[in-house]
Amino acid sequence: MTLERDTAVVGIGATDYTRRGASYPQTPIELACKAIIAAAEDAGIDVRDVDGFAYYSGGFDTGLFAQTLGLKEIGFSASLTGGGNGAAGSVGLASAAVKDRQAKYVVSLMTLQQTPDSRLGAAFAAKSGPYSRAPTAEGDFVAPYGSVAPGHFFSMMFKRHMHLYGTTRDAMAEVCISQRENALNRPKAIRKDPITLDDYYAARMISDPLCLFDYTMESDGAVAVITTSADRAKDLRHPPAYVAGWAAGGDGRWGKGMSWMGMDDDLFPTAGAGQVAKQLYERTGIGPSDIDVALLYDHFSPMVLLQIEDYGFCPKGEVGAFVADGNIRFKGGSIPVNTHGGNLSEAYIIGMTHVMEGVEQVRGTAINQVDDCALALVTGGPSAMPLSGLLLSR
Amino acid sequence: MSARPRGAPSADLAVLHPDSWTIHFWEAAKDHRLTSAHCDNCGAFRMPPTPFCPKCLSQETSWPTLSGDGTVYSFTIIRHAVIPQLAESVPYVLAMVDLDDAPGARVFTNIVECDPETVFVGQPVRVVWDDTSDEVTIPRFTPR
Repeated sequence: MTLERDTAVVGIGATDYTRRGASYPQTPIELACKAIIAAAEDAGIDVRDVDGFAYYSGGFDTGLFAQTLGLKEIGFSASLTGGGNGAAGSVGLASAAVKDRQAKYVVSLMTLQQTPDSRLGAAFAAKSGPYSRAPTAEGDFVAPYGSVAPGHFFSMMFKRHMHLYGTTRDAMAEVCISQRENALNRPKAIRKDPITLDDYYAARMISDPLCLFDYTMESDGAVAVITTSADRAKDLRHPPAYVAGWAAGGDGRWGKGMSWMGMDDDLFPTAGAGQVAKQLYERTGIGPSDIDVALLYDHFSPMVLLQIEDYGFCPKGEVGAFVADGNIRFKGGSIPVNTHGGNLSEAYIIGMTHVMEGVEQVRGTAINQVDDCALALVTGGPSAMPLSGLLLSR
Repeated sequence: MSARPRGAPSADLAVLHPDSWTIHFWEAAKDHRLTSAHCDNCGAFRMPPTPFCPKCLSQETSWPTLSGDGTVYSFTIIRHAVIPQLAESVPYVLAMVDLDDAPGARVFTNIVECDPETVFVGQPVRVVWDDTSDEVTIPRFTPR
């Protein structure tokens, strides 16, 4: 193993999570600043010492943060491209900025407020309104077919997996049921009613084979984390969560992924993360059996299953049997997955809750603490480039 | 204009924004002719049309008339309308179809003129033309 220990996440902070729109009349910048202030307090630094921002999913207005929080100077401000794919990678970007001495304390964050005028899950075909998205020449090959929302693409991805490998809806149900169980004892989780297998099969079908439970929720909130050098980390409040390795990329043949769907048959029924897993494992010398907890981006339950295969926790095509054996359960699983409830059950802050949970797990302070947790995998995505993965170590 | 195929989603969605590469596909569709971008240098097909062949980087492109036969690669039966324009369209079948005589070209489409519950992966299908307006024609597919 060649796990790096040059940089570490030293502060984590979050607002409460609410259902869509309920964070109003707070403003998005207010939510974000509350999370940043909380992360600085958690780290034990003055928030005015924050001097860098490493974003994903379009990023935010660094100048407005500086103006609002009275920051002294900015040394770094950049974003990974794409959307939620970059959640884990944004911390890698922060780590790179710190290692290159562009900045000392770099914030990665997500803030989300979905008012009636601004909601996620943009539809390609809506000409106006809360779900509208700018039309493109490429979109003309998608939208006229009523293929207008991410769930439509993910349904077809998983349908192919079901066809090739005999995977059933039971596998998706296990993701939904196990993550809901993990959310039950979490004070901030939005969804806290247990789900049974009967509940799962009784749920409304949205885009067959995906039912209501297979979709994440629409929620509001903000999460921020602060990355700094290992030297500075030593003097701060909590044990460092070292950035042991990260990767943000993808297989060129993945292309536009779900909004293209022309991938070869070896790539199509995957989460597109195989190349990122390979990069991460080659750079660090670790393998899936070294990982103690996996925080896998879960906007849709099947993408958890496909990432389990992409990251090598089980052989390709075998995830149905793997999860049926209880392997992803917090209690007794060989690789506990989304111990915080994830996007599906805790809150959908576009993957930043996964980073926070990874930090808590290697600190040893998680609510659903995995015993002797030394190494946490956090992922962003799928599907836009670059997909990202992050390893945090104690 | 002929009657629209049964099971095709709302014509409101059939609004096109072609660029200088995709226009060839849509002009052929208007003539009820299914085509795909075809590289004249190496013979590879690609969809949707892009300015370069990803295999050989040639820009030499032709637009052959295809048979219209395809095979269902994957599909979903959409039962919930995510936008108001689709409220009258559900349930409908969204599918990826591989074009049989254009290897490498896979298109989004709908499987129409059939019971959605009978659609399956690997199903042989053929193109049907949906004239959604005087200006726009959308290719969809039906079991053959």
